[in-house]
Amino acid sequence: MKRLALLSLVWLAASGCFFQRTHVNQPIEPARLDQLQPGTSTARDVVEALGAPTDVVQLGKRSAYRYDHKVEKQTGLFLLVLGLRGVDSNADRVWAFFDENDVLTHVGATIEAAEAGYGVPVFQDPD
Amino acid sequence: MRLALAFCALLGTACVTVNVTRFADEREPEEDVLLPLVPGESDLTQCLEILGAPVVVEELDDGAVLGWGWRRFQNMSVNVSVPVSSDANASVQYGRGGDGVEGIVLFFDADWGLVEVKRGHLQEILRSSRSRPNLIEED
Repeated sequence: MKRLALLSLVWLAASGCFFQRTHVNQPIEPARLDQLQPGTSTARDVVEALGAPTDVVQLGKRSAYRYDHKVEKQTGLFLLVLGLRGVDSNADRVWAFFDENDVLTHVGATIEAAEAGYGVPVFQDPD
Repeated sequence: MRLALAFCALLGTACVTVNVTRFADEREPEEDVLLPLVPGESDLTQCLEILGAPVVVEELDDGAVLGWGWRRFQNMSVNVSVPVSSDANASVQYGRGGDGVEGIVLFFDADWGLVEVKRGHLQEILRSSRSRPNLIEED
């Protein structure tokens, strides 16, 4: 029994774990998207509501602005010779499309950054 | 017991390590999400409502190409390290897993009408569709 306890102690002493959370850019507030009206809002309105875009794509005479916020969560578990690591990342992302007069024509939004989660492989469903 | 202790001592020197990594980036849409999107009938508004914001937007001729991507894999690697002299180790690593980014790519015409839908490796589809950027004519 003592030997088992000793081995368990050695095992536990040699193990370790970590949790890490990484953010890229500020979260996008969904309420600010409600201010944007295709057909009437302009590029200036979009910048005032969401700030400076992270990317601008020229589409001929038209353009599109990209906004994103990314969250990555990492979990690690080390048991002597076995290392388990889980990485889950998800994003809030908005694309605003403008016509040649910089009037907003379309908005596409995905708000999923909060869905990123912690977990290591053996304790997660493989889905 | 001696054998168990010797085994633990061997493991303690980290001669053998096994690493399992599970990686998930973005969420894969449901299988039937593309069903309502019909080339020649659907437009950008409908596509954005169903798929949300794309990962990539690029110019393509007079229209545009939009891509949604996700990555999900589990990687396992085994590393074996053996001391061959007092100041050198030999190590072998074997691993598998980790594909590219899967995705959905939609092609639009100049009026934001849906022209084509492709599903597969995102970068391969985008690479094959890329063309030289158009000149912007001055008014």
